[in-house]
Amino acid sequence: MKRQHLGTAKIIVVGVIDEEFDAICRIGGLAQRCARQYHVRALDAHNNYDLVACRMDGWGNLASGEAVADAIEDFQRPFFIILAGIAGGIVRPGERDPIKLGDIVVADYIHYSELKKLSGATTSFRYKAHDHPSHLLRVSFAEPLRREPQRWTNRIQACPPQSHTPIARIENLVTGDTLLGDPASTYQQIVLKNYYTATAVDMESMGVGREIFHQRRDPYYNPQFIVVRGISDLVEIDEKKGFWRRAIGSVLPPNHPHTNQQMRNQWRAYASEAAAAFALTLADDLLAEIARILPPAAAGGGLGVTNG
Amino acid sequence: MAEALIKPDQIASMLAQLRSLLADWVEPQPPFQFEIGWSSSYERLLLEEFDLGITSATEILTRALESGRVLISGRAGAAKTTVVYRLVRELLSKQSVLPIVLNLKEWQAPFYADWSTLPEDFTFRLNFLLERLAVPRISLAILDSIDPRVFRVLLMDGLNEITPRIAQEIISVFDEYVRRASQSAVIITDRVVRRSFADVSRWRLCALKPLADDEIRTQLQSQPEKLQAFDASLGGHRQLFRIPLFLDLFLRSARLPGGLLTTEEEMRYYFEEQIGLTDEEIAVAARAAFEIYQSQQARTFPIATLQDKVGQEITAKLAASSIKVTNDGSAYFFHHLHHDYLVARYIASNESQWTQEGFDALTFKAASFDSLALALEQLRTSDQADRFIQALYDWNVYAPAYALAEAHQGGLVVVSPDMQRVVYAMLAEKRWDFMLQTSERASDALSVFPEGSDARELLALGSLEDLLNFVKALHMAGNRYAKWQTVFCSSADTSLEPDVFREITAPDSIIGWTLANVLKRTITSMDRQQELRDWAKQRGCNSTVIWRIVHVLGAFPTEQNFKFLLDILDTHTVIWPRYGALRSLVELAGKSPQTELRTRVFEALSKRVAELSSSHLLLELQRALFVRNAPPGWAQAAFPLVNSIYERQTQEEDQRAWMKVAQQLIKQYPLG
Repeated sequence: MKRQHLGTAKIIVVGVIDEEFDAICRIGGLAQRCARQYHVRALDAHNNYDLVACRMDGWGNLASGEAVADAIEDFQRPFFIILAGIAGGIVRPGERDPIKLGDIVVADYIHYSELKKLSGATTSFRYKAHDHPSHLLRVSFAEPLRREPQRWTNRIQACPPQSHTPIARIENLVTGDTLLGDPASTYQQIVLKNYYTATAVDMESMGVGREIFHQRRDPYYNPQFIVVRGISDLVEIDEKKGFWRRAIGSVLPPNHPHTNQQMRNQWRAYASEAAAAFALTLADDLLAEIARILPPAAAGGGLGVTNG
Repeated sequence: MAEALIKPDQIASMLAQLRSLLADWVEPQPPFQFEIGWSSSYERLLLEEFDLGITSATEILTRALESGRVLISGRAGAAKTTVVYRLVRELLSKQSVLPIVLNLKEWQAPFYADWSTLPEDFTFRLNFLLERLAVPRISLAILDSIDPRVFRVLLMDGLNEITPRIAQEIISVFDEYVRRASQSAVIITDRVVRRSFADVSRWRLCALKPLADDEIRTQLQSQPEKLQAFDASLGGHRQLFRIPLFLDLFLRSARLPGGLLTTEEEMRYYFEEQIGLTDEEIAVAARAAFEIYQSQQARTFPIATLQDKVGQEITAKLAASSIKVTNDGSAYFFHHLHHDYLVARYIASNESQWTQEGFDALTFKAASFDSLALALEQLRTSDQADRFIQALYDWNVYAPAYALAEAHQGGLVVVSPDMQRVVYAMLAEKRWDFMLQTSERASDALSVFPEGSDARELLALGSLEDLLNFVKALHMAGNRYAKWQTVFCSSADTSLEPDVFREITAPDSIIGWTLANVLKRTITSMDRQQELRDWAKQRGCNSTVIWRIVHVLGAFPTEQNFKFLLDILDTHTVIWPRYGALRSLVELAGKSPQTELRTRVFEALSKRVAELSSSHLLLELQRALFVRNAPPGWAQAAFPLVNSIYERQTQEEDQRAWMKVAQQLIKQYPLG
């Protein structure tokens, strides 16, 4: 007896908002919907796929964790998970080489800012276990790709709002869940101060890292994940409400006064494509590597081994 | 890949434990053929609309392989446990499959306290369940170490044996496990009640159908007189034959039904003739059975406790064929209905126990309502039965409906038709409640009645106005019910007479609560609202009346009502008026045309998150935020409150729950 699943996949690429998912499907040629929230390049009679694009149902770490858990269940434990989409770039005063709009951040470490205890005037952070992005994917695939920018920047189809040559950086990322904060609160400033090495901020990476951490409880499953973020807006650390604006950006409607929507509107499509271009080039490299070391039959329909 | 830590051929000792379990199980002979109805939603399942087909029981495994999660609903005696054992037998005949049986009848009272100390991580909870209840005895670490090619099927029998909150948490535990253990599935049996799921599309919902007439005839074929008795029975009188437990009893009994076959009669026959207890002995056993539920809060009890209460002779008679005694001295009735029957018999003859404490003990705090129906069936006069229904109503507004629904399935119902209509109508009014979850619960309670019943007729009505017209057209016999009818049918443009208005303070809960609802939908002037507030503040005003008053005032969004409700929430010492005040504050926010008042309500609640958390009112708040006809900007207005609660949570599960509330608010109420 064997559990039935939607199929198998080697790599799952996860996107959140329309622009992210559309960019992944467009640049990756993932035009066919195979089931539920999943798209593939072409339908396969046995539902064995190299690459599947997955769209999250909603925003935030909760939704990203659930999307990854679903994809892992539906595609019988894929080997690799890539979270691709947009993020806020953190700019600190006096930085020599600040992150720019349209650049890419590949996370090498994930800080989770959300667990905290508010007690009177003090904020103390709490911690919970989660996985960090894969060493294998970062060192063997993301780092070499970063050094050959034309391989992925050539795949970007959208025009940047202003002249720009994107670069990829491998940096720390801070992720949180803030729903609606008090604009006057200093909490957001505290977060940025505390995680002073972070270059980008998002609301989904922890969900993925936490779910991978849970999945790895099984001694027979060792999934690898990586986070690729295109910078769509900048969080000015000196600007009092900057972080707050970023955090709620995806919750509130485009014209809500509390969002820095203008900047994001301008850069969202480009940043989404930049992230998708990098993520999918990395995925193709990964698949090429698998094909290189395995006989064609095994590489075509699966790795020839079960991943748990 | 490295070799598995535990290979498929190394699970033989575990499979041996399961074979031993099966060897101890006596399957009723000849075996019944069961039909399983599959539904796409709880709404359909409760109405017995099987839009996804009717199959044999073997289909359960097929659908478990498809989705990993199956929930089997069934009334008491529907043979849920038999189906589980049959599935285990089938699974044991397959290669590389490990079934694991978890019997919640073995849940013991101390487990509640132990469970509450566990971290809210599914792994701790699953390990807890495995180590205490599983056959084979296994820990999660061992389970995870088994070769991943071995298909694990967890079969959890009797979700209705434990309190609803923990039952819900157990569903979530298994959901999480299956999600992360690729080669696994879970099959849960439960009574006919709505549960919630993180993603309902991943669950397959089914119900054990009552036995078909052809199957009953096949079973009765060898006993022509009984077959003749069945064929001679009419419509509703056939219900009991369709319940496998009772058909089995009937097959094994030496008598023919003299007239109507009822659950009560069959149970009495079982204890008198098959167990051999005298009337006096049954009374002693009934009292002991009740005291055991009261003290143990679980189906399992130490056999020594029973022996202390009833003596050796009665214990021996029960242990011979009705009770399972385990090696550690704990025991439980093979079928919970036997224990329920004894408890119901005690309750039925002791009106002094028709209290919150009595009903809590009888139902494990509203986890299982079967015993209520059994008690109801033992009452012989309409007056007594009506008093019982009213006492149930005072305890739990949904309980009379569930008791009546089961009693309708089980035979004789002596509750007066008027009282039944009152119960159904008051429940039906809740279908248009401002809080969506209340509306859903009311529909569920009406759905479990048989097709063609009065209750189901009310479920088909399209609006509150239809309901009022329907009730207006009824012929109500007694004075009390005629008066109720007049009050209930008051139209929106009327203001109640002063003497009627004052009835909200009446000790009669039916009329008092009817007033509480009617005042919300008729003209209740500012002066009258002031009068209500004054009554509530009078010394000696009891907490139930205050609860009714706060229920009314939520419909009228004024500054005075806002302050009054907050005051009750802050200062009252009894939980129910505070619960009512909280709901009414949300209602007041939802009905206020002024954004400013709405904002102030949510700000006020935000400042009280710590107090709400300590009094367990947060769960109610979570439900209350989802309202009918919400004003524009409802989600944004609620966000600061949701955020304050979210930020105070220290457990990941609680954080997830509140994050889901936020997401659901966004989905359900367009951002303004």
